Amino acid sequence: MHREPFAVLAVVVCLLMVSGSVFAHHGDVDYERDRLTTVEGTVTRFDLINPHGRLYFNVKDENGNVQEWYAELSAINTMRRLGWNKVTLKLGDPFTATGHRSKDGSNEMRLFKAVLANGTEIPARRLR
Amino acid sequence: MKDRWISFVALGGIALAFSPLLLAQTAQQPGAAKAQSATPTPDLSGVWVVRELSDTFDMKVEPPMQPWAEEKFKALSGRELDPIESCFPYGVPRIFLSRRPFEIVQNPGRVLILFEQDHWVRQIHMDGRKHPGPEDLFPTWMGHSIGHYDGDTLVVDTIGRNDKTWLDNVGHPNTDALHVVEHFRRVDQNTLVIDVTIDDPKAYTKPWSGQKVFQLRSDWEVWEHVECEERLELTPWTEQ
Repeated sequence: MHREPFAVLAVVVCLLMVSGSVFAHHGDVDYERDRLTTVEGTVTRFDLINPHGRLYFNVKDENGNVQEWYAELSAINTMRRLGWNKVTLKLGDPFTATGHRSKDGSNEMRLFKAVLANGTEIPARRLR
Repeated sequence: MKDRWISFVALGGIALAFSPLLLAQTAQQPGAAKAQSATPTPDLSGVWVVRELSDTFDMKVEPPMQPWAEEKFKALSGRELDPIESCFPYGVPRIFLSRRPFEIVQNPGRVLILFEQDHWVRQIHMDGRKHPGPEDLFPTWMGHSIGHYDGDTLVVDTIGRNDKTWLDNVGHPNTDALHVVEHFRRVDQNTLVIDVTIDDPKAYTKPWSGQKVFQLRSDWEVWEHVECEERLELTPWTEQ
């Protein structure tokens, strides 16, 4: 299914405006905690912000259609300690995202790790 | 040669003239002198982070609640009621359940804990003062803390904590009668154990205790972290 990026972005912005708390603190219960999903995409937006960073990217499905994806990241300081900085991912960068996908089947995940185009693997969740 | 002697005499005179000042300055620092002569304080300084995240202080038994407290606790149905989800401060002792690190800074008269979580600072007075009396005790999120060293342990006594947040992530309540005693002990170079005892006779039928273990992160600094910054918005000030 192809959707206009601007329309999707507008919906996302509206959702953020009316329901900040939904995005602010997703519980683990919202994601497939015991299953990892991996997709290849290109970065459309990357924000290291609190309480969770946000990564938006496009993924081509098997029919070549572009799917818009969103990955929730950890807080800024956690990401920094894991080795991320403001230019780890730049607009248009291809990368591979692995994470816990949303249980509702939407194109949303809690990022577990990313593999950059040069093969560098970088964790996105602190393990304890 | 004669000039050199004159210089020696002059320097000696200057030294004598300033010596009362030097002595006076030394005498004005009894705390420092006392700290040097006292038994060595345990070194708790450094950046620490919780070793295993949990929602409680890993109590061995469920806290024995007063009927109203138990009713309130059992009525909690979801995270939407959690004060921190509405950007309330964590308060003492819950802030030690945060995933964010904290730094302990030990000074002669005061221990400071610099929390990364919302950049809170906790002051523990080590100068022998008492808690304020009821007339001067204004409830706060961190309460009023006084402490002392008992061998290798920092013992911290806290009262004056408000009742606007929870004691832990599952919602154990408290009242303004809350009295928290914490024992900080560095069991080895890289491990800090904090034992927490909760005494709140208005909410619990007897005191209860828990514990958290923290690991040293000597390669970390405490950075600024504002949990709710995405929800911050400017609102016009209006006179009431």
